[in-house]
Amino acid sequence: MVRQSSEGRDPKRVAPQVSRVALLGNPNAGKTTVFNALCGARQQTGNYAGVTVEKKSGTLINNSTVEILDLPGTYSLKAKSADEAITAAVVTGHSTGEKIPDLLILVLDASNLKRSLYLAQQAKELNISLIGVMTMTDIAARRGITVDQKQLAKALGFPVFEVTLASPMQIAALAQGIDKARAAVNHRVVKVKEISIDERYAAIDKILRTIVRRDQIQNSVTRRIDVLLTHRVFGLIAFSLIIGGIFFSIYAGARPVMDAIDSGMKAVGASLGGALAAYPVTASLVSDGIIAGAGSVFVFLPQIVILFFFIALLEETGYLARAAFLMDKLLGWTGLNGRAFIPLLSSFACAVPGIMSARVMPTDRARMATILIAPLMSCSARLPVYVLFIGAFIEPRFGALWAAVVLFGMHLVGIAVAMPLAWLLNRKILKTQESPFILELPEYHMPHLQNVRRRVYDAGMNFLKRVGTVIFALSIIIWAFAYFPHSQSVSDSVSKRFAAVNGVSKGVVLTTPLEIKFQNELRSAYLKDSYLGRFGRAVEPVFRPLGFDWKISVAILAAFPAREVFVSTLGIIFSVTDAKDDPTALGKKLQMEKKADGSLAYDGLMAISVMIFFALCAQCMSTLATIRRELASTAWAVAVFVSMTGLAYIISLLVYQIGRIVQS
Amino acid sequence: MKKDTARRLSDLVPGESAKILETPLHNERLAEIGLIKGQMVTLVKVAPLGDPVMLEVLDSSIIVRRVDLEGVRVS
Repeated sequence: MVRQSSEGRDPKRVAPQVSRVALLGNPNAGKTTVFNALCGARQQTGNYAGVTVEKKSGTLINNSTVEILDLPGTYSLKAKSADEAITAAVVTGHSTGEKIPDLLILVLDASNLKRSLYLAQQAKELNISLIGVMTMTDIAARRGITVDQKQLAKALGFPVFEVTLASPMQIAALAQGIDKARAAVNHRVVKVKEISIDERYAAIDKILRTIVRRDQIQNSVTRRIDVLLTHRVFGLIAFSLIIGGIFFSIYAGARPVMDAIDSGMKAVGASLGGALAAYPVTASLVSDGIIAGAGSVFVFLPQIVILFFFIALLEETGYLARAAFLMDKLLGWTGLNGRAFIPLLSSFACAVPGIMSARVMPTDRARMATILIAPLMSCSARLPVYVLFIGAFIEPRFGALWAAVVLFGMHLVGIAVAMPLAWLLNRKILKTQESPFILELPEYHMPHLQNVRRRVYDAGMNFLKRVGTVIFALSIIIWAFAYFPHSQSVSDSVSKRFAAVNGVSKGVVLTTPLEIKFQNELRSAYLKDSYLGRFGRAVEPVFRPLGFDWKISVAILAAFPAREVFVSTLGIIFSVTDAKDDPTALGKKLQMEKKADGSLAYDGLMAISVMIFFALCAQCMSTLATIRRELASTAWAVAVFVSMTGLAYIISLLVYQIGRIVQS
Repeated sequence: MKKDTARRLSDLVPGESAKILETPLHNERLAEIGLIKGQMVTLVKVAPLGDPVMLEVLDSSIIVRRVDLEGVRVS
């Protein structure tokens, strides 16, 4: 390869050449820890060209001329899945977006050396410069395994660095090694030889005979923990407790912070509203559009942070693999891979982190199937809708017990639809190939705090970026449709009617309660006349068979960006001040709402219909935006929206119409 | 192959160890992670719902679905 330099005349001042270094290793070999230690904060995530495999790259902590690529973990360069194919393509120079690395860092797991060396053998045949790093020597020692690293380096023909602790000293030594090795780049890539697996392992056995020493040691800590945590009874109990604990933390732990953010934003909105009082359109844009729109998504930041903290903990400690062992059968029949469990579970809190955590899926299609059904898990944003309608229509008639049963039932509706759908996706549509579900149970170990912190930070920043861009923009659009045309004639007619009904003569200053009442009626009238209101009444016939009138319909439409907006929109529609803070008041209004003929507008059946609609519909822009980004496909995001909305419509329709027949 | 001693790996009782006789070629990944001829393997335990199974091979525990172990014979 010809090296080019802008200052080639003076050899002493040659601009430093960028070297491309790639990390190669088995899954769970400690690759990420090495990567995080090498790059620190100087790393970013992205996607490989054309595929959705996550690409992690960065530059060396003290030398920005060394680019480091964290390749997806693999046991072999003969790829069996999408992410492994990326690894194989990059190191053999067949990747479309990536150049061949100048240097490979092989991650060698001391506690799992044979498997590491299997990959090492293949890597050696590539003829790229290699250095090795040894991880997990502490775990190996606990198992009575000692590796003579000098002998190993000699036998392998490349230097091996000890990095188990990822301490600054170890990393500095490794960085030096990288610098030395990258001087001698070799780009003549040769294909991996066709050697049988048996032969390779025989060769490895021969190498290791004198290099690895084993002492007999009693049951390891991991073995003892696993007796309990994978036990057929205690294992399931422990699993329930862990999952329950995580759920509780997300729910209860996030609540105070969410409330703080929420009230903080309300305060900001109020003071901005005051400051902008002279510019009513701008004031409404800020408080009703930006703060109520993008802000209502922003409040989920604590949930995201807590959830990803736990996911990182589960992964880092090694428990995730045990959870998969326990629950795999439940997902197995649908063709879902065992690892889908955690993403789906996360989606009960919020589909956004659930979808993002589907990155733990081993293959592209399995990940896709998981992402596509994740939005059907009943997320916490549906809760306000459930609580509002159950409180208004179920509890008064059937009591608190049935209210709780219905609430639980609503969470089951999503699962009941998701599982057959997963079966359909896996077996018929995506035709997810039966990639063997082989998962190594890593040794339990204390989480590396740096990895946990990075995981949480990345997830939080990604989320904030999304709130600040797409969601921000869409909130403004929705607000505009709900605000304009805002014509004077509406105000005039409301004033006239209000004055007549309340016996107020023109020009009189209203008392505070009357003023609030007037403002609410005015807001309702504006909404009814807004483009969104007109649209709501135009589409009412579509929703009529489900039992929804134009008000419910318009709230459903307004709730496209986020489900919670349904409740606040109904609040505006029913002229209730601050509907969110006092849902019972809104519930009362819903109970007493009358049709033109004087009969009650809504009943329990309509409430069930609304709830089922919300359990199944895709009324969440951030979910759709996340699907679009994670799958790098607008078409799939649209497909999710259309099919979920279709499902919601059909099932709500069936429930409402059958219910009416039963009732009469 | 001696039919009388050859058994399916998934038929081992939990805790039982055996030597691998053959791993079918179509399931290359199993061989790559160490389920090769002559290697000792232990079926550690079975998941609460009957599937997957936990194996111990090459010093580490792996979990595999029964369906993926088809054709792996041990003695």
